[in-house]
Amino acid sequence: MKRKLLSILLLAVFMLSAGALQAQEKKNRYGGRIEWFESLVSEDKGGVEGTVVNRSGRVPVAEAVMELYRGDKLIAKGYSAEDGYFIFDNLPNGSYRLAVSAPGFVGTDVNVSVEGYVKDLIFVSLVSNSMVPDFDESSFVEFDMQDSGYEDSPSLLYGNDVYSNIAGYGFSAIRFKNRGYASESQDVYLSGVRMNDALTGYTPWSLWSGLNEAMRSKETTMGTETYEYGFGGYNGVTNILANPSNVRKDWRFSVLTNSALYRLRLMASYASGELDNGWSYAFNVSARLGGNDWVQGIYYRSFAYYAGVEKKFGDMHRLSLVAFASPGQRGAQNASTQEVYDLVGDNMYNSNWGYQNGKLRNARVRKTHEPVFILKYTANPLDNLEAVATVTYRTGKNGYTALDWYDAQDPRPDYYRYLPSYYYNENDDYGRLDQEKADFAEQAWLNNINSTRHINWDHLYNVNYHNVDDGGIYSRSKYIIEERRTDQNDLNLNASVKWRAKDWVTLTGGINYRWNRTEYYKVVDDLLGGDYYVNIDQFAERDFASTPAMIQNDLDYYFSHNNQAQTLYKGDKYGYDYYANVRNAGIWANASFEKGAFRGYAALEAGYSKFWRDGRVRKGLFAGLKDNGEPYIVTNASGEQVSLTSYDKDGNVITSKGRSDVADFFTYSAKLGASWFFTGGHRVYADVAYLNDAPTFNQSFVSPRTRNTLVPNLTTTKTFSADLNYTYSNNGYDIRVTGFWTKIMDQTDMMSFYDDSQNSFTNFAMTGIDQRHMGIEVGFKIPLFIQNLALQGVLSWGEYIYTSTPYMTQTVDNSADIIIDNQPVTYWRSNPVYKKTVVDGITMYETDANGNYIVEKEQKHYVPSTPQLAIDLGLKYRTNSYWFFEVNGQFFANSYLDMNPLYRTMTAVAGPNNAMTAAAMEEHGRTWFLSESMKDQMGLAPEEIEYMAAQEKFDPAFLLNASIGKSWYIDRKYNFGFSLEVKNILNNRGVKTGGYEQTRLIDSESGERYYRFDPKYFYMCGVNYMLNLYFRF
Amino acid sequence: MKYSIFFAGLAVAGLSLASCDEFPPVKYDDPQEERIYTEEDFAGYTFVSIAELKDMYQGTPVEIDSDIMIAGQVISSDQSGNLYRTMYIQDAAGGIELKLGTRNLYNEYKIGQWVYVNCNGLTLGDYRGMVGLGYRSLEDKYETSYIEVPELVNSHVFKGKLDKPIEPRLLEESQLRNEEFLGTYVRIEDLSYGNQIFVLLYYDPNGDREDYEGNCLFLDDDIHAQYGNCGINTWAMSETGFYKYLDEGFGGAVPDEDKGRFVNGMAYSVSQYFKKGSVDVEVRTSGYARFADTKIDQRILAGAHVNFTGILTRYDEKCQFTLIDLNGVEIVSDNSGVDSVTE
Repeated sequence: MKRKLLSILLLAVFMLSAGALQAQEKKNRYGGRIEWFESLVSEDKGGVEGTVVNRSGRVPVAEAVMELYRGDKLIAKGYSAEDGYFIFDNLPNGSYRLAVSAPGFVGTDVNVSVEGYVKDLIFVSLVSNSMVPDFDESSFVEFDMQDSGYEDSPSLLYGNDVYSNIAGYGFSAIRFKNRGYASESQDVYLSGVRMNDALTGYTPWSLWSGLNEAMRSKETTMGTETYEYGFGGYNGVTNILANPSNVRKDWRFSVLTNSALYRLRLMASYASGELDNGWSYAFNVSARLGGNDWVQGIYYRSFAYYAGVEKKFGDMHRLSLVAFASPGQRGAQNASTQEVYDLVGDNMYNSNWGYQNGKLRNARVRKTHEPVFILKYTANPLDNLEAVATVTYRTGKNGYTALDWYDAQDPRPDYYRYLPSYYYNENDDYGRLDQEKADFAEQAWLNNINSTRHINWDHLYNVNYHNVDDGGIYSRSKYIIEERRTDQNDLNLNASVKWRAKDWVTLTGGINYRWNRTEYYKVVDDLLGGDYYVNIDQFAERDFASTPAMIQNDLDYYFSHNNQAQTLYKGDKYGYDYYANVRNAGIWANASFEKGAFRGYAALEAGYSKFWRDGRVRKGLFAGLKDNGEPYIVTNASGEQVSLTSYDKDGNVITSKGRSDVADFFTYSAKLGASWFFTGGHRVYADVAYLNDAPTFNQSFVSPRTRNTLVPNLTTTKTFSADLNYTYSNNGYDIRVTGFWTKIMDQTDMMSFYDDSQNSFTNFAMTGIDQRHMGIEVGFKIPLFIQNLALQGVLSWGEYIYTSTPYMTQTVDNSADIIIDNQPVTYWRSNPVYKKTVVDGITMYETDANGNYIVEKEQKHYVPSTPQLAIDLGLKYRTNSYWFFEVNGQFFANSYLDMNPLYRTMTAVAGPNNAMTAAAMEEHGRTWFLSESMKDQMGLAPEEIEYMAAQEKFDPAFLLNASIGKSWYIDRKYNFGFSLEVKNILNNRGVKTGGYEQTRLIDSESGERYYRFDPKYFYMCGVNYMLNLYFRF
Repeated sequence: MKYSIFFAGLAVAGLSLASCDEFPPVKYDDPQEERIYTEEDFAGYTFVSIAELKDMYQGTPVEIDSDIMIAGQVISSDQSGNLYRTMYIQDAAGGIELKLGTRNLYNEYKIGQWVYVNCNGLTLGDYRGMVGLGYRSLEDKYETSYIEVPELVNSHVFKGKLDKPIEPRLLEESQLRNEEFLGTYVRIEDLSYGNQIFVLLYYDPNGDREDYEGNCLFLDDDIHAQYGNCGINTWAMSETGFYKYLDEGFGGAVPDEDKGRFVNGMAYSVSQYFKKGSVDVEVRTSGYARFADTKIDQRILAGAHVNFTGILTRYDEKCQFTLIDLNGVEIVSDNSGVDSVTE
């Protein structure tokens, strides 16, 4: 026994000696690779050593540049050895900052306290440039500005990539979409779990808005690059590291005010960092309050909380639990037509509000409280193996209020019948001839007579007061506030593993599963002075008034209450109520290779998605079948038997209650990437990906509020994407140039809105939408002749166009009728422009010898609501005393209005006198062939095509912005600072950021054509500021 | 430094106050009742009776340019949908149609409520024998147009107190063509079904509903009158009802080969003829009325006598009657021999 013990001791001594010798050998081998800038005379024998490794797989990084600072002074500069090792020894005791950087990696800073011995940092991990961490900076003045929460929905998240760092924050005000992609294509992960909304795909920023401190640490990839916790899409991945150990250590308080969104934000946070006992904890709270200077009616009464705790068990296990939410409410803005903006003299006019008893009230208020819980377990059983398992759960309420009214005048102030244009148009063919009435309406708007510009709450109450029942006691509300609820229960399970199989290969992979059940319903939020409301479908009442059962929103209630419609009180559900059920499962794997200057990866993913609707109420219009399989038959007012059971064109029963058919999809995707590093900081890399995505629930039902019917011809979206990139990063220069090409095929879209010509909600389901996005991105930062002064800028120049002719189906909520059945949207992709001459202001279209109109060109149609050319150029200056100045100019162009499909159909273009034959339609759609006889006999005229199908292009815009900041250190312990940014200094108030076309048609007096309704726009606000004050210790 | 922190604290306090001030209230108080007008509010105006106002019309439209005011009680409601964008008021001397031009008027103007109308700027005009008050028309075929602009309505029509609704005046056969009762709330008793209708159906091949030449069908003309009510046994017909009747060929009035000419279906008003003694009374109902597709009681079709309560109107020389809703229909003697239809 003793011998055994002795052997062990000897072995231990030997190993320790060998280890010490090995370490000494390392040190010896390393000697002489450091350049000292200051001779340090010290009796202390302290220092710092470690090994620089790639965080992905802990592969040693050779030739990493290490700069050692004491205070602001550079003490020494060194390079890591072939095995990544480095050492700075013979340092006097004190605090140091070690800045580590290497080509292809994002630099990092490490704060070191030297206390008389050589402190072994073990590993200094660097993150690949392709995966950009976004964590604490030593000088965080400008960082505060970027991550201030100023914009609630950033257009893309920014990291240390020179392009995304500028474009991410700087372009958010114009609602810039990266590479023109829809925002839902951007994957956002929280602690490694994909959080994009299960029903829409949108990134749910609002879940953690106001928690900027807790959610500050992020990692970001661009384009199609893969990420170590997930496969990603084609528009980058952002992973928010929400663990307590990732929250910036110590106390921090900040006060932010801005004039564009909310008046005040108060925030406090604390993080312990990792304590000696392995525990970490953190919290973050905030309040966002008040209105802004630009849009009346917008206000915030929002709060946020975050609490997290984490425990490290030995070196192998780590467990964390986090809970957070952003409860509160905020008023919303509405788009209006240019006519309204001009009448009010303000492009920031908001029609959603009015005065009640002299106090401002907004009808559209977002009310949310959706707590999220994250339980994460990380294991490192081996140096080269890491496994992570995460569970997230999201629950709570998400509501959005709106006015609802029954058989009463439209309460919206900018309803088209209240505007001057309803009475007069200089084109006689509109049949709007009454200039005098238009003048009266105009004067009412110009002078805001009787509060014309706003919702007249007092009057709505009075209408309700006086709508008294026959008994004279109770009043039935004609106007109420409804709250549309989307209450999610979302459970995500995620597991991933990372294994460095060899020095040159790292394998990652994972599985994920999502269970989501979301309830969509409405509740009565405010009866506005009335006593009750009634649960009937007023839109159905117009057509089926003689059959009361048919207009019931809850037919089962009606039958079980002696044929009485349900009376509603505050808080009651009404209208619609259904579950959206979604189940997703996926598996993915990624192999990344690293050999010398070469890096590459190959990744695969497979997934299965299914969803279905589960109606919780039986609607009279779509009653379905009884339990015994028989149709519902009732007697109407005339004593006739009427069936409440309706059928689609294929003979299938249309039902509102119970489970719909299940839509399910198998998806598969693959990615490849390679990069090559050249000496001197140059890198060339390329990515290519083929992705296959299931449609979302919200795109897949023709009218989910009323029935279980799925959109016909649903299929997966296929995306092929490739990019080629060059980066240069050296001596303060930072440049990236990227070219990209992406084709997105077989998309589905679903639009739904109220159409008073149909007296109902109408739904447009479009399938087969293809897009092509190609362009270049340039980002650069160039140091200038003055130290710390840099010229920086970005260019995003692309062409994002539609490339297919999709098919459209139009339905209405109050009928089983198909208004438009799977009809081609002929002019969606483009429209023909015919050759013409203008003589004395009169346009004459030219024809060839056969009487056919001559196509001059084909006008492409563009992916809307983002500038396809965006430029930013600025100067940035930082002083050693922590002052910070920045000024930049921005130019945006080639932005287009969102199109509605109705205007791009031949039905809308040909007009009421449409007499197109199927053969003529087919030929015209294929070749744009148009003859004089088609114009005269079929109603298809060249001028009508160009008018109806054209897409509006927004004017280009120039913006000037500037910012300044400063921080002070007090006793080297306390830090106080501010940042001030002024945006749109030139007060450009004519910049359109988006909008949409209304989906209604005006019959011409001639009966030969239709005219469009005016589109509605959103504008950017004028000059605005953001001031942030912070204090931390 | 101390000053910086002091000013920062001051800024926080100021901003907190500002943001709190921008809060909407957590709970809003209910607004007060809106103003109720009385005659005293119009002291500078000249009040005339509705009959006196109507007498100002002498065959051509009259644009009123003086501060003339009328006061009357509301006698109609558009709740059932049989009246559209228009309202009738009545005083002791007569009644008149106000062409207000907005929908759902019954929410604003209750039956029995006093209404004061500043006629200055409005136009008195005739439509097919009925003098009404609206706005001047730019179309030659109409003498008045709807007032419709909210600002115009609000500056000309003022709501007074709610009062006891006016009782209908019982009219005898001899009074049905009497000018003084036009536009008033009346009751006509003991009418019988005439088995005759007036409907104008549009073929509408080119969307032009104004072109009567070959584009429409009069179901009471010489050709179609032989088909009686042309199978239309409802008060009117919604779009759905129209297609149903079209399928049935309008009781034989529309042969199969002509059905295809009806390109776009729509709701149609129907005038059902009733007899009061020797006078034909057209009971006009709108295709947009909620009761449009409600069947006329079988007993009425079979000859049971009815009483009507509603507004007496005129269409050219024809005596027309406008129902406010089906409560204005009352079967008084069931000599039809058929069972009633239960609703």
